[in-house]
Amino acid sequence: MKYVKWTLIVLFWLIVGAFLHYTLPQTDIARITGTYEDRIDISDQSWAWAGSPSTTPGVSSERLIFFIQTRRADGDVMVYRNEDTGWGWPPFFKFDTANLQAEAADLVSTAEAPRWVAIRHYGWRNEFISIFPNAVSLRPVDGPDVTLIPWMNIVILLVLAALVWAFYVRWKRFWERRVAPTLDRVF
Amino acid sequence: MLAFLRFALIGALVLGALYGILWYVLRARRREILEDDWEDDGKGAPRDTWVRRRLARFDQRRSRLLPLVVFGLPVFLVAFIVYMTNFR
Repeated sequence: MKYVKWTLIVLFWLIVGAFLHYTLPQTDIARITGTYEDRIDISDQSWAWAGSPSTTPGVSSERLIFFIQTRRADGDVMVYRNEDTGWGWPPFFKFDTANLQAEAADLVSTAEAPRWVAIRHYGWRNEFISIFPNAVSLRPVDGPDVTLIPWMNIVILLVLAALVWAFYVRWKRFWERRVAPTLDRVF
Repeated sequence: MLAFLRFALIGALVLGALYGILWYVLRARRREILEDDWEDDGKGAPRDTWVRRRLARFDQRRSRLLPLVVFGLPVFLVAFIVYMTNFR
């Protein structure tokens, strides 16, 4: 019985961790190699694309999506999508997709004369289900080894941890004072 | 426009609920503190009168500060994020 309890707890925190890893912003340093647009049917993995697929019969769920191709210092490639999140989720309130695409196009560089860019993004890249992280902003940096400290993530996670602890402490107090004695009396 | 209205409506509802909960929780906590204070140095007046008068003063303060924090802070936060994401 103990295994069930611990399995559920671990599963819960794994889900929470996965959600936070997907939604919180991360910054990569990469060299932009190109930009393109492509038609994507977003009804396949609709959770991984901004906006919702069309529910009107006959109206296609295909959208024209901007992409930014990059290569990292270690040689790996990474392709980001570039979509507005608007007033929706995650709350990045990103409206300047076309501007960002213009900035990315301007920062394209070759391996011989690289221009390194810090790309703030959220989301995951998975080749099998064809999902892409969403680039939120770009800024040029001096080199591929610049140290970037994720201040916002640190603050958000600390606040979350404080909230969880506050709720947990109060729940425990409530349980000890009200529920446990009643359970002891009944059983 | 519709998307913004939907966001604003959901925000207003959630913040409104949070405001209501916080108002009563903070008020109850303040009442407890005042009742303890009466035990220490308020025995001049009957407890309920003594507490009620001071609670009213705290109610006034809370009615100024709480809306500012509960409604103003998220609005400022959203504006800040919009600026940082789109205009920097």
